[in-house]
Amino acid sequence: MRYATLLILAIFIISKDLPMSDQCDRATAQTALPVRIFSETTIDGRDQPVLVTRFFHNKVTIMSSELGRCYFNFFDLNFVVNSASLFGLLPWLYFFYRIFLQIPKYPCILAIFIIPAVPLFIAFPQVAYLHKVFAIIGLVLWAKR
Amino acid sequence: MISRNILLILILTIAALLRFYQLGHNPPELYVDEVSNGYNAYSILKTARDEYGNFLPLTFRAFGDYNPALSVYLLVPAIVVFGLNEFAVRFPSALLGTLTVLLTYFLAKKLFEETKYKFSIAHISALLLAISPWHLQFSRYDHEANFMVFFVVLGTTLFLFSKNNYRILVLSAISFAATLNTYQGAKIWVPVILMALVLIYKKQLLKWKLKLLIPALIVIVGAIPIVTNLQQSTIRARSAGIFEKEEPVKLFISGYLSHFSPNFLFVTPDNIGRHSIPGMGHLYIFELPLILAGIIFAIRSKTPHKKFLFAWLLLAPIPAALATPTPHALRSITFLPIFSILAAIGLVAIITARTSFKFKATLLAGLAIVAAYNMVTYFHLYYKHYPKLKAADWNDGHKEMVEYVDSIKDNYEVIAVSNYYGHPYIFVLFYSKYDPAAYHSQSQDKTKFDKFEFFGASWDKKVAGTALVVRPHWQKPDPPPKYIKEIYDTADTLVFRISEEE
Repeated sequence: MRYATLLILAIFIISKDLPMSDQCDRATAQTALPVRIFSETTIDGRDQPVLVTRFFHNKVTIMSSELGRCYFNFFDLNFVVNSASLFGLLPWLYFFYRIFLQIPKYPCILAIFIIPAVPLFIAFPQVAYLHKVFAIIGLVLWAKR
Repeated sequence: MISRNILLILILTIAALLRFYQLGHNPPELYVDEVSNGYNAYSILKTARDEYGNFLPLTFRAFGDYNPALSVYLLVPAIVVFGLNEFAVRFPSALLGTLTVLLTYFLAKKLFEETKYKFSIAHISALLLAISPWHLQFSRYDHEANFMVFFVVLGTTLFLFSKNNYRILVLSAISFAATLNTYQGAKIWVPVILMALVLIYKKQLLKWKLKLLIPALIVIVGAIPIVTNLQQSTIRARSAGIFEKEEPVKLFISGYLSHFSPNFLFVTPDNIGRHSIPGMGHLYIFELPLILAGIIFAIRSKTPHKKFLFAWLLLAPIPAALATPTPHALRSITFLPIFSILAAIGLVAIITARTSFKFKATLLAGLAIVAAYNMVTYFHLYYKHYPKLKAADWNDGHKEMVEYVDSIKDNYEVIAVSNYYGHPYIFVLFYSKYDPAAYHSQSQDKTKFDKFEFFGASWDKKVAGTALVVRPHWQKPDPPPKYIKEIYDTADTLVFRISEEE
């Protein structure tokens, strides 16, 4: 019965249509960069030391914030639901719970969080598949518990 | 013990400094709702009646809505002490915000009293709330939601301390009853959190047997202003709620989940200018790993209160998810101070984790650098960028306009002010300190009072004599009138043009 339920959930997860998402990657971040630098430095004004302005409004922090926004889109729970269905959300959360538990023992497991960053640099529009994969692994881990 | 108290005093000092520094000047000016609350409190002080002449009302009518009363009454003592000005209107919110930091200390200490790190968790929780951009934003202006946070944290803390003390349980009930009269969202949040408390601590409660009726009655009495004004009290819920929209269940689920979006919490806040500063999330990015670690540590900890901790985290977005738009920083302020407590648990968990020293030291050093940069950037953005970027969201320019008009009004037969920016009458009442007793009889018609007229797209002269006309910058009558003054906001954007017309 338990396995049958998990199998049904897995079918729901796999059969969910993938969502369309806006482009958000290194290219879009680079487009935003000059606009943000100009607007932020203009607000600071000329009476402020250049070093202070550069400290707060520089390419590194603005690129980080833009890329961070794209990266965090992946972890938006609505995106998870749209990719792996509402039934996939709990196994998806369970998968990451189990991952976190392993971090103190195996810090290298943190590398898994690099995977969602790959599409920021290499064109990979089917990134939503990862949610299905994580949810299915979560189901398997739950079954083996 | 002494060093712990000194540390707590230091944290409270930081909290107070961050909440009171430049309170009357940043945000740049009072928002229309603050002005309305301020003038109604002034009217209560002078006449014991609201702007409409209602004697000590249980709900306050403002711009077609009816708001819970407690937040207006709490302004009265501040106006007595400081007069009718920006600082006085924001003072209660800043004070209760500072006191919420103190309450968070006791709440976190109680939640983790069984662990040996209870003091560390309590101090760090209080510190993180003291510097929280989310809490600072709403503690620095007069919004009822911040009053709700204070009373809910007070009620919850008292509840947790009431295990063997019935009087404290009664005080907790009084606090929850007061919460119901602070903010529209409290009508949903108080029943939700009370239900969680009752279900999780039912054993602790049932031992009081029939004596439980008194706290229950107190909460019911607190709900009387809502029940007796049900039609009026639910105007806001009906206009913003999801139930009259298409697919309400779907809206609720997506709205609920949107409040856990890392982008909303850490990078891109909601779109309303008064809720956050551009370029920052509602929480610091350095809190993200701490909150995640805190969740894991709390799940595995043996504290008897962990069910309640997670119930709070999971129930907090419900009031916000029942309305649109989502995510919404104001309606989900119910999250506070739970994220600060979780981050504190996370930090303690990392410090005490049995892992390699090198890994831990690298992680903590990295977090410290990011935290320092995050905080410095936040204060730069708040004090330098925010007043310029969001001046329009704070009705900047209205004070200068009213003060100017008030200083020369005796020279004119009529003063006409455009209502383009919304409800100009309340700004005139507030900044000119217009006698509330004289206003009550004129309060039903919001298009005029005394020698003031408020107009829409264009103004037509109806009275003989010279008129003073205040228009938004883009309204240019033909032929052009004689302009005598231009009003600019903090961002040097033209807001009003004032002209003399025969």
